[in-house]
Amino acid sequence: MSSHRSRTVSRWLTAATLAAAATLALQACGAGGATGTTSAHTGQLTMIISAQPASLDPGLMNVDPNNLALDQLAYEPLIRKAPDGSFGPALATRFGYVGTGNTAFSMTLRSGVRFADGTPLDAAAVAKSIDYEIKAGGPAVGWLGGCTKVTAVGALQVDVACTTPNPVLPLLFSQNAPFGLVISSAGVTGPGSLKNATAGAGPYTLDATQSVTGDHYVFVANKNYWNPKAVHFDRVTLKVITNPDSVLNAIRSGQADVAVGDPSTADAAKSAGLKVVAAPSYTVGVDLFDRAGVDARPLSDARVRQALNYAVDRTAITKALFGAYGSPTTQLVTPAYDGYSAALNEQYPYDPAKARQLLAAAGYPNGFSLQLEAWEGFNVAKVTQAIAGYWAKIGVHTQLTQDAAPAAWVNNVLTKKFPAGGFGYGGLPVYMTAQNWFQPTAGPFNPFLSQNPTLTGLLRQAAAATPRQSAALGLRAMTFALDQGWWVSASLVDAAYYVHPGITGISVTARNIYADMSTVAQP
Amino acid sequence: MVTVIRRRLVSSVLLLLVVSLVSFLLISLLPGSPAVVILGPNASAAQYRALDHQLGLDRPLWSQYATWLGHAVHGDFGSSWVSGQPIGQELAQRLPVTLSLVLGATVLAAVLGVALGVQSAIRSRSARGAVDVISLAGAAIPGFWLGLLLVTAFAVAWPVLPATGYVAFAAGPLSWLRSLILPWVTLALGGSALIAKQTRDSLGEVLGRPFVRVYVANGLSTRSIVYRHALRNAAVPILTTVGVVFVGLLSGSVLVESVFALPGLGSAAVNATTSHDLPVIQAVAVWFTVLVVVVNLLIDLAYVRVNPRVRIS
Repeated sequence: MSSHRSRTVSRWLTAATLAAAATLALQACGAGGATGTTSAHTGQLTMIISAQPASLDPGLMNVDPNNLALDQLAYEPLIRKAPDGSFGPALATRFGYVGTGNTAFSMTLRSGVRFADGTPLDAAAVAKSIDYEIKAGGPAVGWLGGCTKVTAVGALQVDVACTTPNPVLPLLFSQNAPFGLVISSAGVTGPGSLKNATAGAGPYTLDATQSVTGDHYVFVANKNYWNPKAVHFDRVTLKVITNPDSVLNAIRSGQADVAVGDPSTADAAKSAGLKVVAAPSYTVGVDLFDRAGVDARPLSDARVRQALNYAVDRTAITKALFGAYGSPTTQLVTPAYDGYSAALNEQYPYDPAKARQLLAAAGYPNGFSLQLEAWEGFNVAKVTQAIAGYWAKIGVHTQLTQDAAPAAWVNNVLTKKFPAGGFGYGGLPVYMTAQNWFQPTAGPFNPFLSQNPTLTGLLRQAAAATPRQSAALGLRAMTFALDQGWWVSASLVDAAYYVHPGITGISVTARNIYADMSTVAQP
Repeated sequence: MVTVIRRRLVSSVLLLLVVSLVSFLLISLLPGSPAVVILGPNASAAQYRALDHQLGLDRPLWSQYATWLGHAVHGDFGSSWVSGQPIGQELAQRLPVTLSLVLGATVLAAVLGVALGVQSAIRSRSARGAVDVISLAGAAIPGFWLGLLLVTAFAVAWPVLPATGYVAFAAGPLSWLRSLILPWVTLALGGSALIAKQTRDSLGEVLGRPFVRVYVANGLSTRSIVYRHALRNAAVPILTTVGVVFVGLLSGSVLVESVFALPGLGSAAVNATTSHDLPVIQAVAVWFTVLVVVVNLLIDLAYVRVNPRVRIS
């Protein structure tokens, strides 16, 4: 018996010793950092992006923090937008509107710049690149409006001519929009190659042999970069992790230096000692698409739309869903842009009694039914559910359809299956917001092609005006639109990045909600 | 044996055809289009239509399927609509990840399940109860939750293993092992419960047979009776369960790959489904089916190996 016990004890001791040895071996191996995705902080940067980029091709890219991080590494912009919202030189040393009216724009290029493939970057190449990006028909092309005539004047001057005024060309030629990201002639000539390779003049180039599409993208330093001092790393890896908890775990455990964060994990990231760099970024709410009441008659009455605004307790929704990383809002435009006013957030205080009164005055004392659609990204479905809950209290009962993928949401919206639906939108000036929401060009934010002559007139004037006049006109336009109640915003949500101490250059503000990858460094 | 393999291969071709057709039809029923993902939510309806035309999505469904099938039988799965990469090349990069994950987890589930099942069959009632509780917990705990717990414990609080990512075997066997330990445990625990239950039932039944009593009367040790004789007789249903568990783990790998950010076929399927990348979804469905067919064939061959009666029949 005693011999059996001692054998058992000895077996346990052996097992425990082996386990301890294995643990030590694993720890030792971990310290070596040979895990493929672990950043050793020696000339390497690993950044987590929260979704697969829609396309590597700048002509087809989506303007979001994930796609921009990737394209900014490989494509040098013409103009650089600073965190304070000002525009400075990049490939273009001088730039600006010509004359008045915002219909002509000119850029003078830096001399001696070469693409990563060694070919010279001149005016002809820039004009060809912008032409390609217009013809590619990517999501941003509508923002150019009538500014589609691009001409190379001599070796270093590029002129843009517009048929209608466009006040946001500096932004559209910056690092935050595709038209600013210059593609080499080789890339433009064979656009198919742009889907899995890069052809820019940026500080890095994609190493396709080390990358796995949809999982990680490895960039190596561009030896032909015009400003070698600005190349801060030998190698940059962008790792795609879609689960917010996994993102947090990866950066907490030291597998990444920077991550595109999420409000749901931002507090935990801060508690874990990471820097949380955040700024108001996008508005979430419900877009009342059917403003003329084609399918949902009650929505044609401004009093009904206003009632739906009064019925919602924005403060409660925002506090519950976003905590410190959101603020209640009634607006579409985010702070720091023309057209935003803190005072407008008081336009629709939470007042269910007034909401019921307005419904009754419009002929719906008992409320009505409404079909709603929302997709699950950007917290849109959560906010839409919360808003629907408040509407139920004034007798407006909704049937909510949720889509896991944005593709399904946009498809349903464009085919006008729903008179209203959740949205996440923002970080754009009035001109661009108006293109998406108030112009009769079919898109997911105005599928029923609503327009209003007063609003259109104000926006047209604002587009052609000087910056000071434009600000006043933009505010008048947004105030008018808010009066119409075409949408029910609830929360202004922060864009957040998680940054390991020791990494610098990640800066986002309300005026520039996307981190500029060229400034990220490890001093 | 050759006849068995030949029959299996013929039925596998039919199965692949049916799977590809069904998945094609199901995917076509999904709302949305890849154009929306490629162009983003801010493009106009005309831009979406133009890209749909470019991708051939405005053609009749049968025509799209016929084109796909014509290329697929030659091993050409086309290019991803989103990335433009050849799909064969993209999936070939991902196959070793999924194979490492699922085969490793299956082996772990089998070892754990058989060990628990054997203990449950031969120990006292209380020990059996403990094994039942462990098995039940393995089956009941959601994989993604367990994965997050394990990461918090072993990658964050006590950082001995990586939280996410995969290292190829060629890049370093130990690093490969480290990158897969947590995903294996996460994936295997549920499967091991099923195998444990099957092992206990089968072994219990075999241990009641007369030949076991003869071995006991002849003074053979319990270990020898169980592991050398009884377990071999109980192996056929256990192997069947291992095959079923493999298929289950293959589908479970989709979630585990997401939690641990592993670049396998499962995450490719999720990405492709979200972006309506039809050719990639089709190819993944076919590749998954091939994996299941191959493993089932191996299980059939294992039956023949462990049980001569199957070979004779």
